[in-house]
Amino acid sequence: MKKKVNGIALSTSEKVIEIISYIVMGLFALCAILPIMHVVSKSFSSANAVTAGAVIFWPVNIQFETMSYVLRETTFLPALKNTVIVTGLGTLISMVVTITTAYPLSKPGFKGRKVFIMLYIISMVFFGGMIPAYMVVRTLGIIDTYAALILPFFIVHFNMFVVKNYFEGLPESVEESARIDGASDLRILVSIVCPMSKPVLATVAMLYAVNYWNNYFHAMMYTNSTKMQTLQVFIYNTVNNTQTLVERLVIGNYSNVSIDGVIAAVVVLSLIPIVALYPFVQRYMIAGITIGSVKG
Amino acid sequence: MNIVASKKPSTKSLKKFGTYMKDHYLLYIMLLPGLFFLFVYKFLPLYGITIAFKDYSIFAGNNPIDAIAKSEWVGFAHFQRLFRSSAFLKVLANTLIINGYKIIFLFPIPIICAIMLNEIRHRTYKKLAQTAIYVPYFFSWVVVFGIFYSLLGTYGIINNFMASLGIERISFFSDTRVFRGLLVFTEGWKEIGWNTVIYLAAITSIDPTLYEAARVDGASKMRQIWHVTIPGLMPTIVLMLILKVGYILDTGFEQILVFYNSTVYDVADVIQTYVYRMGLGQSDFSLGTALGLFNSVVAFILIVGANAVSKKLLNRSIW
Amino acid sequence: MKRLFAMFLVVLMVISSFAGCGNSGGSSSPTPSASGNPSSSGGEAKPLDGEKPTLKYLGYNVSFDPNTDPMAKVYEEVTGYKVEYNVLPAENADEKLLMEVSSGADYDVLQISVPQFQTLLGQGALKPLTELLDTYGKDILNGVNENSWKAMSGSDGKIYGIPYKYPYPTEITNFMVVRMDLLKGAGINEVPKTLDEFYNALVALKNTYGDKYIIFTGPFRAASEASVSWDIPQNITSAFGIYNDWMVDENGKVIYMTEHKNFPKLMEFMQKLMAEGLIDRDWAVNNTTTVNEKLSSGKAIIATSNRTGTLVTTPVMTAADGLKLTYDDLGYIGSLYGSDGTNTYMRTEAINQVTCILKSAKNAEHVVNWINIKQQNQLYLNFGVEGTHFTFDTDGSIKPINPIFAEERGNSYWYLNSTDEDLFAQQWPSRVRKSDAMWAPFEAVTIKANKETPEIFVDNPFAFMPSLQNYSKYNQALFKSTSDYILQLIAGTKKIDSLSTFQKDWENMGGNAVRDELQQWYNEFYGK
Repeated sequence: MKKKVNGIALSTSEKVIEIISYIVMGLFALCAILPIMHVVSKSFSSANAVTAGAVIFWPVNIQFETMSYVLRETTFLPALKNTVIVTGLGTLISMVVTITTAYPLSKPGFKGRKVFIMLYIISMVFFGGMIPAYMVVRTLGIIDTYAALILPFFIVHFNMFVVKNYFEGLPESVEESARIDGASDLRILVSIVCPMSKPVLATVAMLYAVNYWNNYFHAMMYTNSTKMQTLQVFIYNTVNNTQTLVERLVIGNYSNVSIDGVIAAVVVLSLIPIVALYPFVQRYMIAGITIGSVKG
Repeated sequence: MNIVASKKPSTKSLKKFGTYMKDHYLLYIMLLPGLFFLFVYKFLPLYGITIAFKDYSIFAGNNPIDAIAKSEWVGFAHFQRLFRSSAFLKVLANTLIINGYKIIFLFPIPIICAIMLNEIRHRTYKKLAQTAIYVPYFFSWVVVFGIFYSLLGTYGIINNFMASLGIERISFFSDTRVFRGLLVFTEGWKEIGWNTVIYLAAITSIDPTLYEAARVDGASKMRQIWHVTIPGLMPTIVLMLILKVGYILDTGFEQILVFYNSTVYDVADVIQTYVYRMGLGQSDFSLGTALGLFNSVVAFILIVGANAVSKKLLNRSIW
Repeated sequence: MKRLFAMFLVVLMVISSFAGCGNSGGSSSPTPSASGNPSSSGGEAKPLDGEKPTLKYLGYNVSFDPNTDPMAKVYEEVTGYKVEYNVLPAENADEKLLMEVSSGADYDVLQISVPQFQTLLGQGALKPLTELLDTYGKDILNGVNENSWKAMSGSDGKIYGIPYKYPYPTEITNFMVVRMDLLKGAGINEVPKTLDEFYNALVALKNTYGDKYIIFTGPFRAASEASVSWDIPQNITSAFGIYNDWMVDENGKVIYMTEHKNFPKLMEFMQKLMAEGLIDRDWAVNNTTTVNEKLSSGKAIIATSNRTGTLVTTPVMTAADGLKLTYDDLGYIGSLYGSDGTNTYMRTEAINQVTCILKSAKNAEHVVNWINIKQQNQLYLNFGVEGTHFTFDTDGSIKPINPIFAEERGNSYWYLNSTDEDLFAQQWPSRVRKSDAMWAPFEAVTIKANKETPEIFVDNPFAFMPSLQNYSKYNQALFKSTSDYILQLIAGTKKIDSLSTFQKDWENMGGNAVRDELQQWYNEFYGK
């Protein structure tokens, strides 16, 4: 909370709860960080230390050859480029579609609301299988293009419901006054509802970004050429193809690079961009400000 | 599909609908992109469900779709193959138990985390903690297995430490008594931070004046959380819980496939892993589709049911 | 509903062609893509004159981009063909392949696994190659042995695939690495040769070192579940006369490994090791990574391994910041003898990959021509230039010059489609020499066995079996369930008296159907 609570002193119970929060969340964070440290350390440790399992939470015989191997000798960077493009474009498109879908469905008086929601529920639960979906993509002529990787997450039902839920919780009064001023539904959505919903929109945008980022299955099914390889396909191939990787390392005389080191480096490198997104999202997560200011 | 249409349309309500359309036609236009996607990518492919009732051979026609039409109907044969096998009851029970544990033990934690993070006022600490717990979500299960095997394997870091104290080693990965615990724990490790994010976003929607009012009334922090925060989170909690319950047959496949081995089948073999092994090397699309359809029907019933219960008890509905 | 679907697909097609977003990865199949390769159809008469088309290739998954690897350039220079390489995914490869092929993929040539080849052949998706080989593939025809061609033939007797055979049939692929320094510390100076010696060594190690080390770790299997690898090292099962999942007994009857008369004894042996704490308690959990780690970190004394395994572990164990061992401190246990003198290790007379051409493909004659040129240049493409990449040893074998050999020819294996099999069997061992870590066990186990005890190698009676329907449908699931059962026996969660129950389930899972099929083929093939 940004505004300090003026006037009223913190009671003991508040203090206790706060201290507990600090400790518990600290422990949680530690639980998460230690294994992460393990992976990061592996990506910077010597091949011998990694293979022998000597790396725990800190690099042993620090080296940067593994990282440079992944960046220079593998298709990591082209794959990263593909994933960044798909994630950026896809998130943008998905957000527009999600907002424009969630808004009408969040209006209690919207005629036909139940029918549309039922359509979404049914299509969320039932699934025709990968063969017909593949044929749709093929018929659209978008196999092996970015479009094929965006289509499956055009709208994610869960995300739409989260946004719809949030819209429903917004105070009706603000919209009403705008409507009296003669604003259209679209105008109200763009200039009133969306600004009021920044926290949830930022969060959902991140959910989408992560969906696109982590997508392995559709990328595997809908792309063929090595040029279109995405990051997740690259990671899967690296993890599942250790035998050819070993030969690669020997051939290239990367004696200080190990399989597990490469896998760790690939994991770490693929994490950085998507994790770095989170602090940006957190900026929009400050309680109350938006709603309060609109009201005030 | 036509819930509204079945309510006898009177001329009056049609007229009313007409004026509503006129006033709010933009709302309907807004729905179009989403509906376009729904029809093209979700409803059209539903035709593929018929594969579950056919002896599908992908080469039976000119293309895979044509092949569906040309494959022979076999009725419920694939479902019988699924349900009649001797192991089905056991794997169904395992599925329900493992996912039940996951809901009971793991569902409340992200809510508590979100509330606690919200209480932390040191902004850097809060941000760091938040980011840290969210990172594990991005590790694939293969990598998570690697991490936890080096920690918890029979000769892993923790067991070596225990052995040095003279405590007997525990084979977490092959002991039927602790294996489900391992599944729940690692799932928690990977997913808790991620689920917290959604609750954190929901907390921001709570009107701060409600807290002020409660404070003026002399409500303690605990009471504020109970009477303001929790009710404020309720829509999100209900949504998440309904979906979790709905997908009770459907989760954890990738995790279990990576973690389990034949010595723990008794406690860890779930429907999907079982069917996976049954169809190994066969590319049996029909059996897979039958299982998918079974899961979908159960999920649909559970979601509709859970929504009805929530409507009755909490006066909350996701539609 | 089907019509509705078809109608929508048509509408979609129209929309998408208007939208112009068609990068045309391929159109839906009723009307095959018009945007094919330019030099196709029309000029049937002299197909190999004029411009060589770019070939679209689909191969198995590999951890580098075959388009940008230096090898691609070498192949292009030699053959004059530009090739666009695509790879199948590492996971779900079967589904992806079926989906693409059935919906009209436009690849000119595929290199796939034997089961995948058999599936496509069974579905009539492949082009017969007999005439093409006669016209454009003389070297291929002559280089590949009669038996390999038999396995590539359809029921009409025509050839449908070009085999790449495993080059060295008498290799002991699975062996164990043993720490000689620790073994000597327990008073044993020789690498065990019989099962009894092996057992005694384990006991001696246990008595000497107690719980300080994992005495024996394994099995050496890939982490991905679907892979077929043995849970009991094959150099142990050899001592019991069990060398394959399917075998033929002395009466000519086809039997499964669990039906072998020594199977209970084998399991008893493994259970004894487990009960006495001589093997890794995580036997059921281990995979190649964990086994390698336990060995190279010095936690384990004996570990199952293979050539790729030692490639990883040996450099670590001999490193100055590792265990500081020398090559003398590492011993390799080959195929073990049973107490009655039994020792059967199977010849891997198997076909690794099959190159085939889809029925609808347009450049078939160019593909065969291309592969033929590659085989003509087998030595240059796989081993390089004498004096630069390798030298001939006094005994005529090829000795690579590292590192240039490894750098410039190391990846050639992925680009191989066919070989002059006899010649390649002689040339190939030198490729193992690209690394000492691989060569040491190869020399100690395989070369030694070939010189001193060649009689231990037995034939796989089913090595050249063509595509059989039930076999390709059920065998993988049968193997997996057997493997699971074996692990449960070793761990003690199941007792050996449950064997008959297991056998019944196994029969119902398709075991009987496969056996009947194999028996019939066996009787015909061997004229019984």
